[in-house]
Amino acid sequence: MIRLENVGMRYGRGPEVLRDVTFELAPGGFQFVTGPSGAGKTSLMRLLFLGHRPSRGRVVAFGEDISRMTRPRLAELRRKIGVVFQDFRLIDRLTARENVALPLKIAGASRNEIEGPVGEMLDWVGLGHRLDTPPPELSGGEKQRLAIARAVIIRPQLLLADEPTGSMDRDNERRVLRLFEALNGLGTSVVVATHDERVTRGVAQPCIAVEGGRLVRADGDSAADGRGADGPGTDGHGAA
Amino acid sequence: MARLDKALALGRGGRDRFVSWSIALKAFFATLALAGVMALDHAVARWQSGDYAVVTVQLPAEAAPELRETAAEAMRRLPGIAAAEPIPEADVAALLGPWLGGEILPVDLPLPAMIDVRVEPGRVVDWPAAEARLREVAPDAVLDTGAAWVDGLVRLARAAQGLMGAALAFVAVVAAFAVVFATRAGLTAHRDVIELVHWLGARDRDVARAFERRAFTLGLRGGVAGALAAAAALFALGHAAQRLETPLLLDLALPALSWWVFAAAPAAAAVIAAAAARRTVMAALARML
Repeated sequence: MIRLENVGMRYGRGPEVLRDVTFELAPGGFQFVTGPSGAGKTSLMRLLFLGHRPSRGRVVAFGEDISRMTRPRLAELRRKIGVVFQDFRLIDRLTARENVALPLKIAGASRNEIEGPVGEMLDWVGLGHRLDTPPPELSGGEKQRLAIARAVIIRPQLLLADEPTGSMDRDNERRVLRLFEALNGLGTSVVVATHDERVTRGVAQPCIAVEGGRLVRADGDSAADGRGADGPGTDGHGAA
Repeated sequence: MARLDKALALGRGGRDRFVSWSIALKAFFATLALAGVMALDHAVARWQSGDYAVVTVQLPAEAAPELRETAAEAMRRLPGIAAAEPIPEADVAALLGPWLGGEILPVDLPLPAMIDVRVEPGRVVDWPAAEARLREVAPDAVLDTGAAWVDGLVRLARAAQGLMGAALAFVAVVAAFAVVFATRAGLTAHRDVIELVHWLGARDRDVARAFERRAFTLGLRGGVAGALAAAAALFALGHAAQRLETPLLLDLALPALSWWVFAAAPAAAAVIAAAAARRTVMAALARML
């Protein structure tokens, strides 16, 4: 589904925040990405949702090299990816309903195609009673669920969630993870980035870790430095 | 489809008011310049048609009265000539008197014979052909059409038109730059949302359309205000010119069918603003992934 080959990434002219990353996520896979704050998890997610060009290496998404892709084609591919951002990225001036409807509007859906699914989705994440509430009036947990609803409303082929349980208590955390598992069961590939080891403890899904901008195996071994093909995506720790 | 208008919420804050007023001011000057170009064009056409050309035929003093009448008759037969009458000698003497130092001219001073020619209003006369015809009946006749006077006026008018055209282009460019800077400021102010909608799959043209629509509205609003102000100013000027009762000034009036410039100015302002906004947004987004 998405393949990174010896990828390096930097912001502007700054130092590389990701180095020699080789990683492959197969269709229908479920992958946890762990690592301490500042390790490069969010940058890796940014590469995965095609929000940043690599400074070197190659990113292949849905079978196409993004460096050769036209901008309209890039936009089309992004519509296949749902993202739950760490800082939610909700639009404060829009209501909960309008925030969730935004990806559908962007995809050109009609009013009829938007109203029903948006209401159902907000019911599903437990916000059916807060349809017309703007994000600033929601709690942290509600915002997180709203962000999840916006990410999955387009039925993405790939769901990326960056610290999706950061503002939640243990019960809601389990609920969200079950939600991701359910989506994965329906065929959506899922990548969840978290710094919280509690979240990944005891889970069946594979885990990879990012440290100092490099991808390492869950046991801490380097997965890069010219050994990209042996990285997490191919040794049983990578894509499921 | 206004997919992103609400998400981007363009048009909030004082920046848009500034753009609108700025465009209004430029549309005011642009409309005045355009009206000036058209009014001068109208006036030049009238001047060249002969309305103001003082046309006379001069014959040598010794020309026989019959030759004077033959020359006048030849002129009358030409297309566009309303009348051609020999001027009595006494009238010629009265005309020349002030220029020759006294009202009473010496009896033996030879005075040229003159024919006063009137042109039909609005008609253009082929003066070279007229002169050729005149020479056929009176080889020593001289046709004075006053062309030099009109030509000088026309050259001045054309130069003024060129200046007005340049001013019009300059105003359009400055208006476009005002929109470019306002759009860049808008892109910076809404960067987070623009980045988000891109990540959600919006195309560059979806984002550009939101800015384009906003710029079109501002351009139209400013253009209408500017054109109305210019119409009022021109109306007042026209009224003042009529009170002066100076034919040359009356010729500068805008021809009736040319009042469409007041509708064209807002449309042009809207189109220029929308195009500038679109180009700015597309160029800026091309630098983002």
